[in-house]
Amino acid sequence: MAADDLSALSLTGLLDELASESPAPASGSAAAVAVAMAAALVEMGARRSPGWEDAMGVAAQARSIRQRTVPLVQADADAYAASLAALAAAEETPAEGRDEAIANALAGAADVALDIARAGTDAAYLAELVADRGDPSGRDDAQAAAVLAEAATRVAAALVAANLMTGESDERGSAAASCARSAAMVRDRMGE
Amino acid sequence: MTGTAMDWAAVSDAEVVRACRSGEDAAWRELVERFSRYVYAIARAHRLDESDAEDVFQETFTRIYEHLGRLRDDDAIRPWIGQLTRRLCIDRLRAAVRDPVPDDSEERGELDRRMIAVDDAVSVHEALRTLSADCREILDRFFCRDQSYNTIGELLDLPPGTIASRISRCLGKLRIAYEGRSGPAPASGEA
Repeated sequence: MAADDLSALSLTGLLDELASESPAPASGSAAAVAVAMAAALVEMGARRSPGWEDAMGVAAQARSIRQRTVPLVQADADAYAASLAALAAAEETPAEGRDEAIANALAGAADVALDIARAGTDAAYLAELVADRGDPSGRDDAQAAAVLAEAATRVAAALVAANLMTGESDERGSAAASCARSAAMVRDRMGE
Repeated sequence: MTGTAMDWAAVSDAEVVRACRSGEDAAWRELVERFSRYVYAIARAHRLDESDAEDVFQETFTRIYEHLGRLRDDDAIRPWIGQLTRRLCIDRLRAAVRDPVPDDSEERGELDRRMIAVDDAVSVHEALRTLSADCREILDRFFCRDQSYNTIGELLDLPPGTIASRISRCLGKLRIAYEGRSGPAPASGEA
C-alpha cells in the first residue's frame, strides 16, 4: 500500500488507491468513507435547520461520528493488510499455533469493521432525526445519508462475519448483525 | 457555609474563594480540585516536562495559598490563577536553557492558541459540572468514549433511537451553562 494516511489523500487519490492492484484498501475502507459522507450530509441537514432547537446538538453528534470514522479508512486497510500477511505466513507457522495466529489477525480486522458498522448505524439514526424534524429542504439529503449509512453498515457487518469465521456466536458478530438490522430498519422507516 | 456534605458543584468560584479566606479546609480542597487540571494543562501547554509541570503545579498552589488575600475580585480567581501559572511556567522555561521562551511571533501565536484551547476546555469542564449526572454520563459515553447509540441504549436501558435527542438536549443545557460562565459558545455545532 502506497499511502500512509488514506484519509489525507484527495478524493481522486483515494479512489486510485482503491482501484489499484493492491488488495488493501478495499471494501472496509470504502464503507468507512460512506459512513463519513453520510454523517457529513446529516450535519449539513442539521445546520440548515435553524428553527429546530436540537439542530446544533445533532450537528455536533454528526460531526463526532464523522471524526471517529475518518481514521477507520486507514485502520481498516492496515488491519486487512495484516490479516492477509498472517494468512500468507500461515504455511510457515507450526500447525499447533496456526489457527490461533490466523484468528488473531482476522479478529483485528473484525474489530475495525465493527466500529464502522456501529458508526454507520449511528449515522442512520441521526439521518432519520434530521428527516423527521429538520428543515424539510434537507429531507432528500437525509434520506440519501440513511441509504449510504445502511449500505456501509451492511458491508461492515459482512466483513465482521467473514473475519470472525464464527458468525453470530461471537458477540462481535452478533453486534455487527444487530447494527445492520437497526440501520436497515431505520432506512425502511424513512422510505425511499 | 460548612465543609460537611457540601454540594460544591453548585458553589461559584467566588464563593469557594471566600470560604478559603475564612479558613475552611474543605474549601481549599475544592479549590485545588477545581483548578488542578487547569494549572496542569497550562503547564503542559507550555511544553514543560512532567517533572517541571509538577513543580509548577506545587508552586502555583503554594502561591495561591499565600497570596489569595491580594485577589481584589473573587470572580476573577480563574484568570488570576491562569496568569500566575503562566508566569511560573515562563520562569521555569527561562531557567532551563534547553527550552528557551519562544520569542518568534509564530510560536507565540501557537502558544496563545493552546492557551485559548486550555481555557475553553476548562470552561466546558466547569459547565459540565453543573449538569445532571444523567446528562454528564450520556455526553461522556458518546463524545469521550465514542460509544454508539445502541451501546448507550443497552447500558442505560433506553431505546437507541432516543439517545440522539437526549444528547442534543444535554448539549443545549451545556451550552447555556458554558455561556453563563464564558460568554458566547464556540461556533455552531462545536460541543
